[in-house]
Amino acid sequence: MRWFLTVLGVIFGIVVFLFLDYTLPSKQTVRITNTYNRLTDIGANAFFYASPDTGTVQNAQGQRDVRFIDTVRPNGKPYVYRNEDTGWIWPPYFKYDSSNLHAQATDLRSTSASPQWVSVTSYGWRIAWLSVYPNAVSIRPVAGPEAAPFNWAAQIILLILGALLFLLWRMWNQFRERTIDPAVRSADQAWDRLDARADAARDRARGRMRRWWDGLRGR
Amino acid sequence: MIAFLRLIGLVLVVELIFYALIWVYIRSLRREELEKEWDRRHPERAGPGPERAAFVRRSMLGFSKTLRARLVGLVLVLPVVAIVVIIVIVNYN
Repeated sequence: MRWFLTVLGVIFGIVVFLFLDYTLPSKQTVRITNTYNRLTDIGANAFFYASPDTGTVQNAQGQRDVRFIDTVRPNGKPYVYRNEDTGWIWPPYFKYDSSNLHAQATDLRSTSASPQWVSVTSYGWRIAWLSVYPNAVSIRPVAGPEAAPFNWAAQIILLILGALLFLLWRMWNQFRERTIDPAVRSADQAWDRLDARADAARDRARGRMRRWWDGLRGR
Repeated sequence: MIAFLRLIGLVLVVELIFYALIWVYIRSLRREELEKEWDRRHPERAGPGPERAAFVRRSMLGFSKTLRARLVGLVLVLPVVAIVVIIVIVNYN
């Protein structure tokens, strides 16, 4: 039983970590090389795209015209973002300016000969074999490839989540101290009273039996 | 439009859950504090009893009123402000 709970706890921890890793904003310094729209097949990987009711046009074959931003990282490896509205529910970025973001990204394109480095804020993962792309949220020019702006948004969200968790923990403690423990105590006392009465009754009965038995044996 | 209404409904539900939880929690803290206060003031009549219960009840009346105003600001208004701030930062920056 013990090992089962341990395994369950570890799996839960990993799921929470992956969830936060996917949803929280992350920043990366890159160089934009190209921006374009592409008719994209959305199948089993639909989970990693915007939900269909957020204004993205989808045709009868289940294809969507998705905006993409091609970039190159400082180490020379490519990285591709998608640029989609998030809609109103999840993840709660409330992004509906992907056209503006695309205009900005196109404006900041550069060549390797005269690079213009930008810091892209995004959420999500790049999984090449599933055609999964992180969604770019904002783009800001930075001085050079070494620039690493502090990720304020993610830190603040983590702090707020931690505070909420702490609050729930305190609430549970207070509830246990003021409601559950007194109830258990009074139930215990009631049980003890019942028990004591039963004991007394048994003692009395035993005394009677003993007397009867002794009387029978002529003592 | 439907999605926006769904957002409003969802935020409202979550807010009301937290409102109820924090309402019960803060009142419980306050009641505990008042019971301790009574025991401190009247060491000879300390412990649970009708007098202490009446004292706690009387003191809680005014507290509930101010708590409601503060909680509405904290739980119902603050998250909406936060959402508006996120919208502005993401879309108009």
